[in-house]
Amino acid sequence: MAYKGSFRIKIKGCESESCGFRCQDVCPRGVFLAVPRHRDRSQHAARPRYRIVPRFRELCDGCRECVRACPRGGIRVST
Amino acid sequence: MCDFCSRHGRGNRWYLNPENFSEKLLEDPKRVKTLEKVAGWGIEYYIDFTSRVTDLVDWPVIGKAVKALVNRLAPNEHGGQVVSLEDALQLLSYARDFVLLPCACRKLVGHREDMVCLNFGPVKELQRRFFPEGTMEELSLEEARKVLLECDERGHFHQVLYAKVPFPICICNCDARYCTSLKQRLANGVEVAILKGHEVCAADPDICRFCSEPLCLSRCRFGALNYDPEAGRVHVDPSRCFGCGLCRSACFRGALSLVPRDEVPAAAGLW
Repeated sequence: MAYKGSFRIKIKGCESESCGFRCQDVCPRGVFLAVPRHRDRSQHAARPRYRIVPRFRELCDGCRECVRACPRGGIRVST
Repeated sequence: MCDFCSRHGRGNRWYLNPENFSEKLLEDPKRVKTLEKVAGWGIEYYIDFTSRVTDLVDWPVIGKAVKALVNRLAPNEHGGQVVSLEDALQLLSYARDFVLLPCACRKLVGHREDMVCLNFGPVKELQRRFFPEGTMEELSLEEARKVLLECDERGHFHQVLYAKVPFPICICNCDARYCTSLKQRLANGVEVAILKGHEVCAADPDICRFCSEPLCLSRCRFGALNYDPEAGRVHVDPSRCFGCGLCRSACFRGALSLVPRDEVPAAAGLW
């Protein structure tokens, strides 16, 4: 069983720390994954910073809650 | 019986075979390498890496080959299987050195610091070695059991995770919205990321009837229960059921129970 959504998600100009990861908060399917910005683990441990990627976009049901929640208007969901 | 059980269960389920908890298994260099990779990279980097690889499953030409490769290699790395509360409680009696850690999936998907990842065995030492300042709560066996019962009550399903089959290292109390293993399965069809449990749910048609408040529906994380409002009855789709057993505790009539997966033709062999 695998869900195959037909939505494309694009994120531009994301400042995830400043908005408090609002797209993640509102997404009912958990499509967005926060991944470490630093490649070096020790840098990440000292000051963890994340960027948001739509890693599980196949699960997107197109509700567009993330589009409405993004304060920068940086998320686009298209078919 | 799943493939892991037939190879490592000795007539029992693989995670209930006491031999699989032995420290002798840590003499396997591949297992040590896997443990050090997960702990040494940091679980956040590991989740990023594995989800990026499974994302390639959708690529047009190499997708099928990547999927086959991931399903073949994952048992030598890190993966899991859904277990019922009873199995999870029994499993704890074979393990030692319990530590509670914040769930990495919840952190990366929902930015939450929930202490629901119940680790045991070598994890305590690894955590001390690689993350001496990280959050970790040491537990006794009784406290570990209490954590499982509390999580079950809150509606978290249990998943036993291994570091190279058949060495269990953790019971994570997951939720479908956050669990990255489950999402790798649902989004990319990588079944071995999280195998289904050894049982499936069944509703007793004599007891489950004229129900106007099907609370069990809200407990199912996998969309396996359907409500028929005309008959006031719940129907189980065994092919969707992962066998976590969370729905049982919501039915005040006790109409739901777990039955062995192999005895249900619609679910037999679906791991």
